[in-house]
Amino acid sequence: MRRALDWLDERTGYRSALGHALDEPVIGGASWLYVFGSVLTFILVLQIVTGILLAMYYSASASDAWASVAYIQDRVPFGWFVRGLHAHGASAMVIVAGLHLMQVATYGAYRRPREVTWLIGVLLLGLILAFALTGYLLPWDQKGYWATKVATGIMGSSPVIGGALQQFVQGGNEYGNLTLTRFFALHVFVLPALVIVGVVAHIALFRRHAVTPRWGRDETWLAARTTPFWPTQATYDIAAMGAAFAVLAAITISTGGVGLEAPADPGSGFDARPEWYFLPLFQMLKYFHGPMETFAALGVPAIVGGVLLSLPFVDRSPDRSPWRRTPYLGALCCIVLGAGALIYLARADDAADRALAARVEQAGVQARLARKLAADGVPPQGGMAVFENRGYAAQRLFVQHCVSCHGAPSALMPELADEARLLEPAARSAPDLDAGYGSRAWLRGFLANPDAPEYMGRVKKVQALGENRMPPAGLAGAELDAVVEWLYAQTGARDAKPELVAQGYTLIEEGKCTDCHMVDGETPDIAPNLGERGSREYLESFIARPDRLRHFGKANEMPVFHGKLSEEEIRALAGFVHSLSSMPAATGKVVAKP
Amino acid sequence: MLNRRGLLKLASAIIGGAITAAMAVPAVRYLVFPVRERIVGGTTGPLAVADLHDLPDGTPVRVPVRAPDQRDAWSRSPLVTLGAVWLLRKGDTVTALSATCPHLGCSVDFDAGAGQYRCPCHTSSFALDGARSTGPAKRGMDPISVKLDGTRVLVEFRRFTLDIAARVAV
Ligand code: FES
Repeated sequence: MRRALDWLDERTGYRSALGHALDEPVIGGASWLYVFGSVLTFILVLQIVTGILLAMYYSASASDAWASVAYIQDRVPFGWFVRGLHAHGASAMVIVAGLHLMQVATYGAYRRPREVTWLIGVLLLGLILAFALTGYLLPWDQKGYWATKVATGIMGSSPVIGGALQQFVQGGNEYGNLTLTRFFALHVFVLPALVIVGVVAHIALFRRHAVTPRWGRDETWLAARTTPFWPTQATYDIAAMGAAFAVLAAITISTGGVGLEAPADPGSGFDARPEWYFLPLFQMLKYFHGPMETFAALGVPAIVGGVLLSLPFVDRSPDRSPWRRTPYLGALCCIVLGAGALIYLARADDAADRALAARVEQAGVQARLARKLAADGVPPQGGMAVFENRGYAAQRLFVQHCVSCHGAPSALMPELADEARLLEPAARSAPDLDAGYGSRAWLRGFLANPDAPEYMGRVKKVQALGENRMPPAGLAGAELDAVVEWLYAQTGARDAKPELVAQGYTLIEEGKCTDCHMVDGETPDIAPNLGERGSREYLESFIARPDRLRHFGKANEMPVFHGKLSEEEIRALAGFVHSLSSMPAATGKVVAKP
Repeated sequence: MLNRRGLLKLASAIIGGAITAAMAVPAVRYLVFPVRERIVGGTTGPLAVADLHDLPDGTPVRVPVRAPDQRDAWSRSPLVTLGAVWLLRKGDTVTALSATCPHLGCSVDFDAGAGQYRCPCHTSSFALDGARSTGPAKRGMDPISVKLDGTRVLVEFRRFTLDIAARVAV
């Protein structure tokens, strides 16, 4: 081992380089107040590591981004942890950068000859914020999508080049694939390269000018206490890094990582809130309107940046004591307190808004549902298509359009149960549509008593037909079995028994049914056609135009959905109604006894 | 006895080691997740590839195999092409060979003039029944099992480990 290291040292001189790094004199002795720069560097490394890990699974495309992040979050082991560390790490960067800045400012460390170190530091702070802004969009969820829309909107409102700038940044006229690829390229290539160059320069300049000790100490006092970086200051730094990591990990574990909202839905409303460190800007936009809006959104950050950058050039007081530099430190304090106050106001506004809380709650339900449905894989159309999984979209249509007359089926997904309960009428006005609808048992019940409330009993137009409405079929035993089987076969059921079906057909053709109903062609009167009754195709046609002669004709009471819903929606709805027949009846209420 | 210097060194090493370990364990689990996991996959079972009437007697035909539904990590896509097979009809029976060359996985062609399968990559050639004739392939072409449902031709699509003499499904 020793010989191998000697060999290496002879060729690289690593020992003297390491010595150079570790023996740096800390003027006036080690201090806990000097740890912030090292902690920032540490968190930067952590961000790079977690960022690379995330990139192993992330896909920057409008159709895949949300799905890939949901996959990281819910499927990949420790994905939630890696993503949580990365997101909370971004907040930690802002906090620690703020502490670092305050320490440097208080000690007057930006003063001659360290002006350039300070300037680079301020630019690095800007880069940290740019990281946060570009990273927020990448999951392509509701929050990132809408919050970033606000940010690019502000960019678009800037004078003269605004429109062009916005299109350049978002990659075209609208948000889409190019927006993501651009933000991704900025976030993982451009900004890291700039930050690394900046940090290297910042640290090199720091080494050149060394640490700025506390004010008011004379040279001999300082010289007597000066120690090398290793081991005391180094241990302080490492301990602070350990504390920072422990806090980050604890927050990540206790929050279960960072949230992921439902996939971006350009057609929805969403209460977009930026990350906490952008809340001051967000809040200011509430107060400034019209032409002042651009001033608040772009002018104020420019002024703050200007104040920070000019600090070393205006603060030329002979003494480094903070008490002699109150105007400069006061300005800084005003900025920090002002930002804090705006953050507080933004939070307080939201906390007082009941309606907002309800919408946030609803968004949370959507987010959990989307992630649950994503376990079945996200269709190629993109994140939003996840709601088509497990028939959710069809069931939702059913709740919105059918429940108010037909009542809520027991077979709904739990996520829709609340909404269905709200729409459930006090008194239903149409036949029940529940699990078992269209099954053999349902058909038997219908034939035995068509006027039962769960069948046609509540339909006023049918009841108004008086004598002309359908009487009980008056069938029993083998005859009933055969007729039921034929009707059951019409629904497209694969398990219908062919011999029974054939017998049923003969009975129907020769019996009373065809006095009113036709099997093929279109029944000219009020009785629905029986051929393929209850099949998917029949249900589609029925939902679209129940007043067709093929269906209820003049006796129809149901709303026409053609023109109200799209063909695809009607198809989905018919699919759900059709699937009811094979669902086990949960209550037994709907399916009458044979 | 540890002096102050030694103590600080030890403390630094412990903290540094703890951070590294706390990151390394999740990172490794996170990274090796796809190993032995069915990241890409989907409907198993026979897939319809052709109709018996469309197949000429005695001449192999190359047909793509499409899965109705395929999972790929986070996505689920309909009608994804998995690969291709060569179908050969003789009267009412059909046999199938994987179009993937058992050497290193190129796509095997059929040379109608020579009545032989030929791989365009490293010139392996195979007889009509898939048996190896020449070239670097270590085994013949891989048979794929065929089912007939009426006139529909269904295949049980499989992949096999490349470049070994034995036929091992993956
Ligand atoms: S891959 Fe076919 S011969 Fe090498």
